[in-house]
Amino acid sequence: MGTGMSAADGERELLRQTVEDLLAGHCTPSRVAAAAGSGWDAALWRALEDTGLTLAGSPEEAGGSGGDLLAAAGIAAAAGAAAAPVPLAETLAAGMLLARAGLTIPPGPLTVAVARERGATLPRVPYGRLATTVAAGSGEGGDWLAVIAPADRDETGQSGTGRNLAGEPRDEVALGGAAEVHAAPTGTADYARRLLRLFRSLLIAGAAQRALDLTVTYVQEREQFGRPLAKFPTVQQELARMAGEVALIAAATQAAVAAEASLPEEDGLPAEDGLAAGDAVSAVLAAKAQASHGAGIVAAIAHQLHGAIGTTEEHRLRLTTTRLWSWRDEDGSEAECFAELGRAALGAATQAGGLWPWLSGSP
Amino acid sequence: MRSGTLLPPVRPWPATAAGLRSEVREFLAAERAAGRFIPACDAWLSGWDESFSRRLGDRGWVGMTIPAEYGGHGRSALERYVVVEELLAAGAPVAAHWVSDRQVGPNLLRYGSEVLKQRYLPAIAQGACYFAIGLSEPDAGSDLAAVRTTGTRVDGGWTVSGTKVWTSGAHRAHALIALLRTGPPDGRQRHVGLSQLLIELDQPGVTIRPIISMTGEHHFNEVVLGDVFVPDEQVVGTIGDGWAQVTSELAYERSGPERLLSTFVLLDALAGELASRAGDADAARAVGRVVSRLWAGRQMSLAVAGALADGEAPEIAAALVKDVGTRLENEIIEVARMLTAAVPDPEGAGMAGLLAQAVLHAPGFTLRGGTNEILRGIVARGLALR
Repeated sequence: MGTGMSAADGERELLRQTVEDLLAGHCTPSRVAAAAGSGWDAALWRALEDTGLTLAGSPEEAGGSGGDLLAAAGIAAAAGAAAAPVPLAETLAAGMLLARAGLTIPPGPLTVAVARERGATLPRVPYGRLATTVAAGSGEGGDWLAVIAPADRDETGQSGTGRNLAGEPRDEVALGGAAEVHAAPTGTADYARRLLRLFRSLLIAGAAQRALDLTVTYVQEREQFGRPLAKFPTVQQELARMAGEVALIAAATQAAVAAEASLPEEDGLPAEDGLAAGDAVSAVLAAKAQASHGAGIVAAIAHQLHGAIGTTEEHRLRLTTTRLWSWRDEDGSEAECFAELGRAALGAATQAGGLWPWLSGSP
Repeated sequence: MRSGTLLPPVRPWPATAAGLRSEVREFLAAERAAGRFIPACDAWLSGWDESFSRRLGDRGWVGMTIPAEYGGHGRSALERYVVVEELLAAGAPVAAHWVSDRQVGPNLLRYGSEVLKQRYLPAIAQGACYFAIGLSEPDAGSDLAAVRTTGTRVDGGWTVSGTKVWTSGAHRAHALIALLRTGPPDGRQRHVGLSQLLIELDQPGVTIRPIISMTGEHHFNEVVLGDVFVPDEQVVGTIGDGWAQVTSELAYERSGPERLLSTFVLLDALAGELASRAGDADAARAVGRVVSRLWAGRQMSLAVAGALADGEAPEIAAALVKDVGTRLENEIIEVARMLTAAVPDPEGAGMAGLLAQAVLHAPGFTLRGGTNEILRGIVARGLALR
């Protein structure tokens, strides 16, 4: 069906296949489950880093491995589908953020947080205990980025650690004296918030697709009353409702990536005046809103159709659904995104032409 | 395990899209200012205005994808999408030419004989030729292959007898595009022996009776065909291929912006009313909920439109657009009811009138074009077969 396929599409398809194969080899249910104990899967991380996949989307001059946002987005969605127990999406976002600010990307796993103020302690930072944290903030002196490696922390270490429902580390990181603070272009903090939302949405999109795939397989294999569950109209109705949400999340995240990618660029990076661009802000908000909203619906139907077996520790479904339940609340729950987007919509409604010019992205 | 996405990628807008959009908006603003139409919910079903259709035709905005040699404009499917969604978002009266523009034109381009193309396409592009769809029958609703209207072979054509129902606009349309049985089913293969014929409505043997909706409006009809002669040249495509032809049309019918925007005018009015309450968190959240869903649903619809334009057949995605979109059209009504003090009044202005239109039209959203339950069955079977 690749009628409109360009060379760039072909490269992306090849990349997607490479990532999916690598992740499929490593992210077996037993290894993903085991990683929740140690915090992550170091062997998987090494394999990803060796192939340059952890810094796609960031230019080579900054220490990245090149490629565009679409490449990075494809990798993040694949990580979500595989339930990869590593901060892959976080590292991709951090690399882009550092590169945008003209900073060199340090080696190893990275993570991003938005800080309210400079001396703040950042709550629930993904993989904070083992990744270099890139914190973005803005204040009277303008926007800034702080970089703090795990070894440089002035804390005793494990006090503020936590986990999400999937066992992924969510740790306190203090922006203490050891953090290097750099002035960053205006809009950097907003850009960081948007990248976090976008990459979280992509993780959800991948996981939602995986939940659907697992469920489709299950209802074809599992027989009751002498025939596969897939033959029962009530089951079909629920499966289709689930597919609708999955498709909606896919459409929304795809469009948000496109909106972000279409921002004006300078030297392959978003131009400074594009960092806070309204269209991309709304697109990413809408994508996260629908990803978070749909995540709960998808997880609920997946479990209902799997029956009791899906709720057990030994079944792989929970590796996906616990992530959906966690990720929907991270980087902006649907309630938060609905409210923010709703305020923007009501603001737009006072303009000539009402809501439509804003909603259609063509004022 | 088979993995993959449900959706084709969204294609970029053509370079002409932005300019075209502005032109349509200017035209619509002028029409509204001149009092030529009042924005209404579900106006693609209820807003029959032949002079409006002709003015659109004059602008080149009907039958846009029809090539110039047949009186059309050779524009792309996505350019048509721009025009159509602008018209729908404005609640403009597009019902008269709706079926001609959305499906009969493309259908004739794909399957029609040279005679049929010459006969109908130029008038369609002028916004002056209107069609009704003859699919449903008294005993063939969701079970479309159960149609009993028959065409019997006679010298030079077919004699058609049977009854079609829910034929929107048949009392004003020029012709009916009908699915009927021209041959026996092949055992249990009921899709065999069905054909598509274009039947002129102003001729002996055609009786059209109104079916009045609960709004009091007259859109639907019962069309009784009593030994109506239809010449061979009015056969669309190939005798016996009717089922395949009709189902290939359905992807267009199910995935267009009309499956999302039937109540957009109500949402727009609501947002206008609430604009002064932007600090009201409940209002913002409720509006944000439907707005984000509408935005995402539009991206789904666009993804399917782009794939269709490239000759792909994304049937599952098309069915999903209709299921998600029409449920959203209903959700918008519920959000409006929660947030406005207005109550539905068919004679009321503003919110009251729009609410009345929306509430009374709403049951149709998830029925027309294949009920959502039937569509979900198609989706589920498609997923299992992937």
